Amino acid sequence: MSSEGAIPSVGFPWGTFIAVIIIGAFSLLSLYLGFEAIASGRTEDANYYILLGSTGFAAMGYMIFRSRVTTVRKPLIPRVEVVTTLECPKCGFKKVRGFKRGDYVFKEDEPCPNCDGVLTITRIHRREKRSRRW
Amino acid sequence: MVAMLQQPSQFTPPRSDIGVLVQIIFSAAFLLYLLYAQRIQSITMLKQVEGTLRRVKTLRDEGKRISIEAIKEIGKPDRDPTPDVERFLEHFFIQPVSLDPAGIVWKLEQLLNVRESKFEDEVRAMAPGASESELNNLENLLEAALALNVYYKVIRHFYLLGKKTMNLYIIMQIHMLLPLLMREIEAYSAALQAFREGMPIGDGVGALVAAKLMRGYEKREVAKDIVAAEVPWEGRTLIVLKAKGPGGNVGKPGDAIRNILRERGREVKAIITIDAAGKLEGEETGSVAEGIGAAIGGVGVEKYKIEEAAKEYDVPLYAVAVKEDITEVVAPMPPALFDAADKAVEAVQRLILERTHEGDMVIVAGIGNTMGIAQ
Repeated sequence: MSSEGAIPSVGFPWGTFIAVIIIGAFSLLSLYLGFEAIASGRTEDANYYILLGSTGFAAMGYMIFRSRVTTVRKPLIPRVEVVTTLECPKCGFKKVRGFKRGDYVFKEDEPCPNCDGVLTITRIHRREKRSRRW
Repeated sequence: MVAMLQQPSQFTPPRSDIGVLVQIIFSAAFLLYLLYAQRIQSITMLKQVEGTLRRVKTLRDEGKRISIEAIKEIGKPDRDPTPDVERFLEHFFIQPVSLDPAGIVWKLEQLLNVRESKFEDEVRAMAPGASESELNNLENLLEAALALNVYYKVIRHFYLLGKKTMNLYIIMQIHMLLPLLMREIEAYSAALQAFREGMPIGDGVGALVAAKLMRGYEKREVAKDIVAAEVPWEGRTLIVLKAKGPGGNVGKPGDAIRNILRERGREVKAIITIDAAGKLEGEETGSVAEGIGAAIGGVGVEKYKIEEAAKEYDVPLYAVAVKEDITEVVAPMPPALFDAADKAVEAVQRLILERTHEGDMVIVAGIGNTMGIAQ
């Protein structure tokens, strides 16, 4: 067996799902019997049943929480939005646009629309908030 | 044992069938935990490591995929670069022996030079259509993918070893380190976008400060991939240096400072290094701090050369650090760091005014990866 194969593949956690269904069914039954025992005046039995039922629900919740941690959290590479600021050193005209491959700080990029100067890249940085993911 | 099993009955006497059932369940759970607590803990930790390992594997695979795509897109190779990339990702580096530490820095430098030139040649062969800047960026991209591969293999090693032995202490080692490792892994995965596109990264803030100071002055190459400019300021002469941009490059600032000191001798009255520094939790990204010493990271070869040269010529070393989080070092530069470059320029100028006199010469070295930053 290769070492790559030794890592279990990501898939639906069927084992957890079946265990949750079984525990859920027993917990519901226990709670039902508990309420029935209350109605018939058997307080001591009712306490036991309700204790069993609520313990089962707590276990079920924990199992769902654990399986969520390992399967729902998607392993994605964050992709941030990066912006380029261009300024005209002659007239002070400023323009902000999305980053293009080949942009670099202090690059003389394009003619200024206001004067005969050339827009120079003065800032390249990401926007504060992460916009989308790969 | 009987007393232990009867213990719950002291609080809830089993007067009914359901009472007996509850007592058995709780006693069994107690016994199970008493005997198998360590195993349960090991299994729980292994499950958590397994989840993280899957995540790291996906990041590693993404790193490889993005590298191959970028090489195909930028380098326009004649053949599929996948096998070459896969071979590159398995590269390793053997540190020189440290039993006799005298002279180890030069041995380390020689090995690093060989590694650098081999990487350059390999990337050039993989991407024949790329320009010099693009080759530097692709090399950085492949190194990030290589780092992700190493992280993945190390975590996998401890996971499989832990699973094989079920030894709590082996499992605990990797489990305890995972949050710190994941920060580094996430930083490298954020670097993939920056390196592929050639965007300025957090580590470039030192180079940005130097670029702001030297802009408009004549530049010359003073060491491998390091440019310098003589900048007159307030009656002083500043020799400002940084890595040659805009490709992803750190150059050899140690060699550059040594060469300038050999050239100018005792005319130089101060050396100021500016670099990005890891911030502590609670500190703000982009805060600027001043200190003494050589502000430069890496394995220590360049730092050693700067310290040796400064000692030989008896020049004081001052440092300006721009604080940033580990996750920002190789990720696209946040705006706070871009703004911090102006604050760092002010700090450098204040240091020069306070610590030197008119007519003095000062070396100002902007340290860091100059990707996306020209001069």
